Amino acid sequence: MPKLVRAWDLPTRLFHWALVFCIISAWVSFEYAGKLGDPTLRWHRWNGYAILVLLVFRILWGFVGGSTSRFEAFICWPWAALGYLKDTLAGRHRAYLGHNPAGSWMIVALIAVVMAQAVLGLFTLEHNEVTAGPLQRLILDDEAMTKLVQILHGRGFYIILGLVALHVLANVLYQHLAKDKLITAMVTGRKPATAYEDQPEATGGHPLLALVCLVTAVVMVFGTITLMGGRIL
Amino acid sequence: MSGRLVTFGRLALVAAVLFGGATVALAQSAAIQARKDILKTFGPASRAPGLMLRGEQPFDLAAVQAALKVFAEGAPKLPALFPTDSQAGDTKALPLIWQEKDKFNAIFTRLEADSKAAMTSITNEATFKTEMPKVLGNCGTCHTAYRAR
Repeated sequence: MPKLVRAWDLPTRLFHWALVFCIISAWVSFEYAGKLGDPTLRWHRWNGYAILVLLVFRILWGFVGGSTSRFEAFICWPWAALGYLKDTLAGRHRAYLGHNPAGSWMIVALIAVVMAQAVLGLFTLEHNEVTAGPLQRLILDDEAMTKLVQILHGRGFYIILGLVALHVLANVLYQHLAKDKLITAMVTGRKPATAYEDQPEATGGHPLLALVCLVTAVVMVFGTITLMGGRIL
Repeated sequence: MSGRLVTFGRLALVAAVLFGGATVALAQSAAIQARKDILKTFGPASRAPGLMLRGEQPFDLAAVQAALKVFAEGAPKLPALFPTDSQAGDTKALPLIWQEKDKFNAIFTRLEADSKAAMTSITNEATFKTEMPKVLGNCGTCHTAYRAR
């Protein structure tokens, strides 16, 4: 049994699983709004705010968080990701403690797409016009724009679903085929010590600092919506 | 003579089939058109109450009552306008409707009942905010399950 080293700080792990929960819950709360007795989508809307807060938190954390959570630690040149993918597909496993070069771009894509979806939600009019995101009033009189946002927010889910499927599949393959327990690491925060290409062990990422980031994220999200004239119902 | 009779018979047969087919096709599109006409009054009717719920328009009891009347009168006509032969055509109605017709029809019954109940229970803005979502919730319940997106 090799020695275990820190791979992910606690705030990043909490962020990850909270986002998983929120994305599932966002879908359920829309799809079954009637059955859940929530036709004005109150749950779905607060779910959206929660996702925005989580994402803004994660972006802030990407600058001050633990060493593997920082963008500077994992955002690489796209061709580095392609080279890594080529090696992996050729059966040459290259061990990374944090995000590997291909995974790092998946993280960027997921954050970007989920962020776009959440921001679109702020402007979306529910398809029966019963309820809407807090900023929909800014485009209330622009029917074409309202329709476009509605379509994009509706289709956006399938883009997320596609990326999530790829992300989950890759992690399951790593976990079981490559014996690189990425899923376990995202739960426990630990990985066996070995000659990792990026860093030997994660450092930093104090929970108190994360709390400051979280509070900042809450203020940023609700502050921006309010300053833009949004009505948080 | 008999040759002419046979020819006439053939023509009559083809004509009958065509006429019959056209009648069926027209009847189908008639049901689709009829239900669309009713449902298309629901959308505009729910617009003002939606704006009121979101605080974009002041509460107006008369406008709310007018919308509820549109729902209460239209809903009971709808179950009959989804006959089995009206699945194909210019419609967003999903096949699931005909697989669970009772569940589908129950939504119209509920919409009618909820609308009628709301006509008396909604008396001011506070009761509007609690009761109106129950009525409008039926739109989403039906659309998410039975309407193509």
